[in-house]
Amino acid sequence: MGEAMKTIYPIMGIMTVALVLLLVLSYLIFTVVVPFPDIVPGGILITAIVKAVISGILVLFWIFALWQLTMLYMKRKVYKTT
Amino acid sequence: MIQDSIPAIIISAILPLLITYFSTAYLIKKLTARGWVAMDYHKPDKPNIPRPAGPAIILGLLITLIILYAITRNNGILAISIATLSGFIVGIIDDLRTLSGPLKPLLMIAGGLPIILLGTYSPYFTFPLFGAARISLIYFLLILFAIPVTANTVNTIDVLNGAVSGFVILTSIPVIFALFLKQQFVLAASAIVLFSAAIGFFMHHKFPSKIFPGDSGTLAFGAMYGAIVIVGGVELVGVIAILPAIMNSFFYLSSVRRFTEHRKIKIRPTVVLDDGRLVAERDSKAPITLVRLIVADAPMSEKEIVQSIYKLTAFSSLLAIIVAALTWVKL
Repeated sequence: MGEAMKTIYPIMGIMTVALVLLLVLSYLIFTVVVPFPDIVPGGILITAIVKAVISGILVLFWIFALWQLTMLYMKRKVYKTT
Repeated sequence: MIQDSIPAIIISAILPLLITYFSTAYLIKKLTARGWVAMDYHKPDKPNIPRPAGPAIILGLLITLIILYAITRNNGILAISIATLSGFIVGIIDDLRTLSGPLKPLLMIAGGLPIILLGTYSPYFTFPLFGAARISLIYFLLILFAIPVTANTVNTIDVLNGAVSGFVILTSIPVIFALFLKQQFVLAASAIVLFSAAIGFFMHHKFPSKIFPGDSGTLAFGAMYGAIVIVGGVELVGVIAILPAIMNSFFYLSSVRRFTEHRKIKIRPTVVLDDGRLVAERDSKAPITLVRLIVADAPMSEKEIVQSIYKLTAFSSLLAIIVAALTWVKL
């Protein structure tokens, strides 16, 4: 295996995880969170805020997961000699 | 019907390539004669390379888009043209008198306005396997941010000789594929314009570069890419194809924690060795970039790094093609 490919495969792995998480989280947002019925009768605003917050948390989870994977890669490959 | 779009597709495939190729060759001579050059830091002899190639790129893109609009009278083409032009204008201002980090994306928001004002979008976000979801209000905001985000994302991949032009060539393939699957042949022709102009420019920009695109070139490419995926309704495919550049921007912003010009970064992400090869900076305060990840194991030459970027982009484009097939191919 070439030297270049040794670093490319883990990055491809991070990209694949990013894609799978993107699809799964989008699925959760658009099929579970968005069609969620009103929490209290007539509480459209409250429901909208709750939906936005849950969707935001899922997006933050995507960013957090990617960041953790990247930092794991950095610790193993780049910061190991410091 | 595809038969009706064949002349537009043929023009889109040939004209931008020829215009961009020959106008870039002309620009190389003119810029060199006027002393509009920038140092190529990654070469042992540090040569001065003419820049920016943006005017040649925009010429190839806009002339063809205007012809395409004249043939089809499709408002989507008009919106894409204006968005591309706005990217070029912000870029050329930045090339001539450096704009601040946050100001550039703010100015780029104007690029999304023609898409909204001409109503050339559909507020349905299409996913593979579970279909479309309507997101009216959020989509409106998404359009305004899409052009600055794609333009700046493409801009961040302009790190080494041939990287950005090769990147645009590879990432426009899944967009063309998705638009053909959706039977939006006129918009597919606009994506072919981007593909073709990128090839014309790549011939001069590939390693070793004879010219640099400058922000006027990269922001025009990025704004056009963003406008095509929004107007064509192939957002997810467009996002997946440019994942290497998105990750690059994301790593950079997360590690630097602010919008800033790369010139102002004190610790560079990579170190250039005496033989011209690049190695990852070991200091944990240095920004995390895609190139730093690529050279994490061992020093690599500029050419090897660019080839790695192509391989990663080819991989993300393949993933985007699979997603497009899962979304629009009816079995």
